[in-house]
This record gives sequence, structure tokens and C-alpha cells, in this order.
Amino acid sequence: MNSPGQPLPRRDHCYALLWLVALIGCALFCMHQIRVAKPFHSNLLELLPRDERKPVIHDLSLTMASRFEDKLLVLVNAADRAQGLAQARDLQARLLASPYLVADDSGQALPSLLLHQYRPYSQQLLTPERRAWLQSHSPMALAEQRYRELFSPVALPYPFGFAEDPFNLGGYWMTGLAAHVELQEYQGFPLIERAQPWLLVTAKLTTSPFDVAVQQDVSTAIDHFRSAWPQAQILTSGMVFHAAEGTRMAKHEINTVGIGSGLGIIVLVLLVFRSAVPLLAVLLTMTSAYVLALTVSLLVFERIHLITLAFGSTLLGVAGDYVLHFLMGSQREGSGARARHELRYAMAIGALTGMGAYLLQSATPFPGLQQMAVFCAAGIAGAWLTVLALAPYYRMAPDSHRPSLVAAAMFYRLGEAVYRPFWARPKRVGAALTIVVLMAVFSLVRGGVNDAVTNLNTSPEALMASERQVQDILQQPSISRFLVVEADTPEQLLVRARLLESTLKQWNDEAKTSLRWLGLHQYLPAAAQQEQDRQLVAATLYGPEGALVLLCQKLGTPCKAPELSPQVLTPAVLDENISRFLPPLLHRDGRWYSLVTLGGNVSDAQLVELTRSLQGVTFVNQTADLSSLLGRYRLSVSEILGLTLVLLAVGLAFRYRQRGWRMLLPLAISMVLALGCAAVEGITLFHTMALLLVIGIGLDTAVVYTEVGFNAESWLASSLACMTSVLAFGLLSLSVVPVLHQFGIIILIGILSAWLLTPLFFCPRYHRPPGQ
Amino acid sequence: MMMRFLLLLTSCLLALPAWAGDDLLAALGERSRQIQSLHGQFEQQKTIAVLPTPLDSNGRFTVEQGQFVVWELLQPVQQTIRLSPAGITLETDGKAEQIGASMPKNGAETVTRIFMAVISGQWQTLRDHFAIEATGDTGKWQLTLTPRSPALASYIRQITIRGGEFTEYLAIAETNGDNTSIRLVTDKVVRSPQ
Repeated sequence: MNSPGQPLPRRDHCYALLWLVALIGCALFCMHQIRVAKPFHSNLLELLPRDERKPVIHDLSLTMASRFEDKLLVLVNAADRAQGLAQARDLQARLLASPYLVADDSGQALPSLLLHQYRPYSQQLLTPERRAWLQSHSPMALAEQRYRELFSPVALPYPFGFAEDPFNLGGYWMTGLAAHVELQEYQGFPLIERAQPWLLVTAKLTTSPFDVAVQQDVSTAIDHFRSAWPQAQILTSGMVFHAAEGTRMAKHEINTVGIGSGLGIIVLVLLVFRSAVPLLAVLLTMTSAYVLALTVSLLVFERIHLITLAFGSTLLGVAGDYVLHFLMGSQREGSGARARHELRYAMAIGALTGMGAYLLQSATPFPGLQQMAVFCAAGIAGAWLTVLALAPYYRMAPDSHRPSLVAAAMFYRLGEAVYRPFWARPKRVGAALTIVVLMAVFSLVRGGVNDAVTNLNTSPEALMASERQVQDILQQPSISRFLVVEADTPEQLLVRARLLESTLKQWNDEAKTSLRWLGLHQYLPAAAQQEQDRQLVAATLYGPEGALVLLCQKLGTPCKAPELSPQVLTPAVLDENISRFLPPLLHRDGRWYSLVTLGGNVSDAQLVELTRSLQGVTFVNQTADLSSLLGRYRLSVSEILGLTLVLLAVGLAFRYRQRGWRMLLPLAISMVLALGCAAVEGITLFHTMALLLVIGIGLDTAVVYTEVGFNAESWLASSLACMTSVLAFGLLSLSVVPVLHQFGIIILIGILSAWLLTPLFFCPRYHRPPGQ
Repeated sequence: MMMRFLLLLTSCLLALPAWAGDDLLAALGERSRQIQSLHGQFEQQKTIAVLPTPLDSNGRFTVEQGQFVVWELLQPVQQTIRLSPAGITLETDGKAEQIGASMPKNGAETVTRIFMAVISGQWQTLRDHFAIEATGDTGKWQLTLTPRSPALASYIRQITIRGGEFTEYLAIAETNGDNTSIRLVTDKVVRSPQ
């Protein structure tokens, strides 16, 4: 143990140098990754676990969601057509001024792509209506109808011409595809007539919607548009708007929590230590903790959610624990090296249990949880290692004035005064605690659980309402409610989807509902169906007594039947540029999967009932599934929590024997109290996750009290550490993001309780009533 | 200085046809609005790419501005098409049917509405769907319509309309190679009271 003036051992310099190099390396790595790989995102779907029971459904819905990711839609009210048009043009110009946005013409190319794709097969593609028409009319009637059509201005588009398609089967097929949408055009903008007319402005992102640069451009364009046209009524839809909102919110949280708790910590440290060096130590430790946390997270995960970062800001509070205990210890011992030696077990046990608690979290198959766990575990390691590496450099003259010791002594007197009556009456304290715990349990039972998916939402209600309105106006299918069709072959899948469609159609007709659906089979009939239709066409239209012969007699010209394709159109030959507009077709483990999207108001129960008897068809409500998933994880995290407590009890009993229970009991009571308070809104997965954190931080205090006793320095250090955490999490509990709020409230109550309750169990020897 | 003047002059000259076109279109639109109703005859010739002989037909038409358009095919088949803001009715051999019953509403409706807008001179409606190039003057003019949307462009290549006091000639070139030309003879006009 060296004192000022004595040179430090070589080993200490080596450690410090190693630490410095590592810190600089990590910082450079982080800066590089942030600039080049742009790892931050606000995509909630990526935080959610893959549904281990139905991985294919997870993949299907991710595929569907990814199609909407790079698009943004804005509906401009065009009740006043001219003004609506001016607004739409202005908005489009503002959006397209961004280098990250281009005109979305992918949908515009679709008609010609489809025409090209269908052309060779035009004589075997029949809509159900057209098939029924051909079956129910004589060749003479068909010829008559076609003859009239040729003169009439009320005719369908005629894409393939008389030589290839004399009866315009192609026109019927193509317009049959478009029947679901009633998109008109107005001066280059799609016009949608509902209760109000709307003009649709679209743009395509050239980068990820989670890229902050494009979010900024979009927000600016919309803001400027709104100030230029204060009367304009617009509705927005697109991942980028939600992502921008997520970013804004996360930044706000990071700033509030980061700045708030940072400032609080600075004030507290200056107040107690009245010197710049401890402050520097605190800031350095927190910075290293954050940098290491970020580095490890960037190495482990490709992308990091902003919520992880916001949550990670609370790490500042946790990291403060080590350095504050260390600083107080140094003040008492007169040297950092001695304090390090003195506190080595306390810090190691605190750090390892904290990391252990987090790493247990990362064992859950919940990507969001894993990220936060890895981030915080690495951060704790960073704080701990920093204290270990730099401790010997914190030295003070043996006779120096140590204001913190004065403060500690004063604060200890206060603490003693408060706790003395409690220490004197352990039975009453026990009874009071039992009552409080019973009340908390009562609140817990009454509050029940809450697995609603809205807990995950980061978008404000107005944005969600706008999104819903756009989906409603454009009659977009729901991406959370759909039917999954699976089969052994693509052909069987298309047959099953067709069967499903006839069931839905029959239901619509009988129940007079307006259920809408969209499936691959509508764009791509089964091969057997195509062959059957080709035969029907060949017989009724092109046979020796078919409609074409009769039609040509009427026209007075000789004409010959078109050549029918010997091939069928299969998913394998479908152009990729077309298939990305259609429901996806997935091949997994020898089976084929696709989905039929749904729109309109029909209850889940009704859809389950309708599809019950259909083979290979499953109704999926992702919102409900997700909610049950959250419930399952809530249970599994609770199990982990129980396991952690059991392991801790065993571990503490092993090291501390009889004293172990004193460490665990205040912690357990704090956890129950925190849950009791949070139960008002129903216990969620995130509440249970936050309890793991309470264990980590709360145990630190108990370990220090056990290792060095409840004395002036440990009481002040614990109080300071608690204050910093309370600052960070207290601010978090005010968050409007449900997840963060839920984390915050549990940790706030949990840590406050642990801070206040733990000393009750650590009565200094000289206060103990005789016989204890 | 001289250079700048020349540049200015050139740009003015370049801008001139567009200005003239817009003015002409506005004038034609104004004239259409003054007409309350219009009756006349038409002769249609449709050339279908592979058929050696064109398909000729003729009939009558009536336009009640803002109310309805009736297109009455007399030869070689009888069919009456009535278009009003309420919808499109097709009358064949005395049987009337609302469009949408036998053919997809969406496709037929767009084509029909465009056709009727051409007949009744609703240039504003047409501008929603087409880029319109106008040449000539109100006494003798020609409009060339090119579809704005790729969806429409995959069916219609171009529409040419010529006229003097009224629309006289109309040609529709389809992408599939078919051409339709229609001659219109207006024989009864009722103008709105000024």
C-alpha cells in the first residue's frame, strides 16, 4: 500500500495504460461504427422475439412489414380540387428535395410488367366471373356480346389485340386484378374518393427509415409544408414517420435522463467531496462504462435500438455505485490503492451479481432484452474495470482535509438518529414490514397483469390515428391480421388459397359483410386451373363451332384462332419486380407458405370459425399472438427472477453463512413493494425485467454493509449511489414511452426501498439491544 | 446587354406555344360551358390490327351539359349508352343494365368517362388524365392527348381531337395497334342564356 510520494508499482502503470489504450480503441471503434454502419434504429419489430412456435409467421410478417418500410404516403385532402392539387405538388417538391427521397414509381411500372408477364398466358387466365360467364353462355351469345363490344365505347382496355386475344380475356383479367382498388388519377396524383376526396403523395426512401438523416428531411418537409399551408389537412403513413417519432422520443429521453442524472451526480459529488478530482473520477468512470457498453453491444449486435440507448443512460447511475463506494473508501483509507484492496470483494461481488443478473436476462430469447442486458452488463464491467485500473492514482496527502469524511460523519449522525428507534424495536419493525408487504401483495393481486401490445408502442396516438385513417382510406390490408396458407407444393398452396377465397366469398355474400382479401392465387391461378381454363377457352371460343367462328362470320372477315400456350404460369417464372407487390411465398423445411391479407370488419372468432375446416389455413392475429408472447415472457422472466433469488440465497449463504438472509430480505421486500406500486397499471413483462436491475443495484448496498459494516462512509456512499440511480430512474419513470416508464417506476421504488430498508437489517454492534 | 436581350427573346419565344395552348384550351373550355345541349350524328371507323376490313358503325349522340351524355349506336348493332354523374347504363335490345354487372366496373368506367369527356368537351376532366397539347385557334384547332399515368398509357397511346366551332373529329390510337376514328356532325345546339 503506497502513499503519496512513493512511486506506483510498475504493474499499476501497465494496467492503467492497458485501460487507456482499450478506452481509446473502444471510443474510436464506436465513432467509426456510428458513422459508417449507422447502427441505431427504432424498429420495434426487431426488438421482439421470434415466435419460436411459428418462425415462418414471424418471417412472413417481417417480409410484409419490410415492404412498407421504404415508402411514405401522405394523403392531402382535395375537397377543393385546385387547392389540394397545389398542396400535393408543393409537398411532393419539398419531399423530393431531400437526397434520401425519390419519386415512388415502382407501382407505376407494375401494370406494364404485369401485361408483359401475362401476355403468353392470356388465353388461360380467367377470373371466376369470366369463367362463369363463358360456362353459362352459348358460343352464339358470346360472339354477339363480343361483336357489340367491338363497336362500343363502353369497353374494357384491350391490351393484347385481336390477333392474340380476340375476346379480350386479357382485359378482363387485368381489370379483375385492379378491382380491389379504386384509384383514379388527378393530374399525375392518385385520387381516392371516399367521404372526402384525397390526393396521394408518395415517396420512396433510398435509405433505411431508421436513418436519422432521412427522418430529419421528412420532418422538416412536413413541418415547412404545414406552416406554408396551415389550412391543409394531411394524413401520413409510413415507417419513417414512426421511426422519426421514435428517434425524437428516444433523444428526448436520453437527454432528459442523461443530462438530468449527470447534472444531479455532479452536484452531489461536488457537495460531498468539494474537489474536482472525485468529480473527474465519477465522470471518467461513467464515460468508460458507456463506451465499453456501446462497444460490446456494437460487436454483439448488428443494430442497436434507440430504446436500448435510452435505457442504457440509466447505466450512468449504476456505474456511479462503484466509483462512489470507492471514493468514500479512499477518503477513509487515505489512498485509492488501499480502498481498492479493502473493497475488492464488495466491488467484485456487486459487479458480478449485477452482470449475472443482466446476463440471465440475455438468456431470454427476447432480442430487446438481450440488447439491454448486454449493454448494461458490459457497462458494469467497464465501470468496475475503470475503478480497478485507476484506483492507485487517487492519492491524497495523509494530513489533507477530507470534507467528505466530515459530511459522512454528519450524515451518519442523521442516519443513526433515524434508525435508532427502529433498531431498538425489531419486532415492531417486523410487524410493520409484514403489513406493508401484505398491502403490496394485495395491490399486486388486484392489479393483475397487463400484456397489451400497446406497451411496446413509441408513437403518439395522433400518429397512430393518422396511420389507421390512411389504411382505411386506401383500403390497405392489415399487416397484423391475416390468413396463413401452407402446403407441400406451390401448386397445392394455390389450390388451397382458391378454396379459401371461395369460402370467404360465400361468407361475404351470405353475411353481407365487406371482407376484402388479397392472395397470390388471384395473380397466379393454380396450374391445374390454368389448364382447365385453357380447355374451356379452346372449346367455347376457338372450337370448330366456337364463338370465334361465329364472330368472324358477323365481321365478314376470315380470322384464325390465337395459338394457346403449352406452358402454365408458375411462381417460379414470376418476375421478381412483380412478386414483391404480392403476398410473399416462402419455402421452409420442405413446405411452402404464403398469406392471404385481410381488410374490412370481420371478427377474429368469425374468421377462425370460417377457416376451421380448411386444410392448411391458419388465421393469425399478430397483435393477439404478440400479447400472449409478452405474457409467456413475463412468466419466464419471473421464473428467472425466482431462480436468481434462489441462486443468490445459496451463494450468499455459502459466503456469509447466517448473515446472508440480512442481505436478501430487504431486497425481497423492496421488490414486492416496487411491484405493488407498479401493479396499479397491471404488471407487464418490463416490470419483471426491471426487478432484475433492482437486484443488481440493491445487492451492491447490502454487500458493502456486510463487507465493511454500516458505517459513516458506507452509509453516505450508498446514499449517494442511491440518489444518482433515483435521479436517473426517477426521470425515466416520467417517460411517455410505456416501456421506459415501467422500467423507471420499478427501479425508482425498488431502489428507494432498498436504500431505506437495508440499514434496518444492519444495526451496528454498539446499538444492538442485549441478547441480539 | 445585347446577348441578354437575345436570350430573353428566345426564352419568350420558346414559352409561347405553351401559353397559346393553355389559352386556347381555356377558350375552348369556356365555349363548351356556354353550350347547354348538343345533338348530332357520328360515323365511327375502327381498324383492328389483324382484320383486313375496318369496322364501320354510326349513330346519334346527345349531350346535356353537366347532366348526361347519350351515345346511341344504330348500325350495325343497337346499343344505347347513357352516362350521368349517377353512373353508366347500357341498353341493348331494350334491356338496360348498370355497368359493373357483366364487366369489371373499374376498367370500363375509366375508359367510358374519358370517352364521354371527349364528346362533351370537358377539357378539365381530360387534363386529369392526359397531358394536352393544343394548337390552332378557336376557329380551327387540334388537341393531342397523351396519357399521364403508365396504367392508362399501357392501353391508350394517343388521342387526337380536331374541331372548329364544335368537335368534328376524334382519333384514338390504342397501344395494341387498333385505331378508332370518329367523325361528328353537330346538327342542333342550345346555348345557355347569357
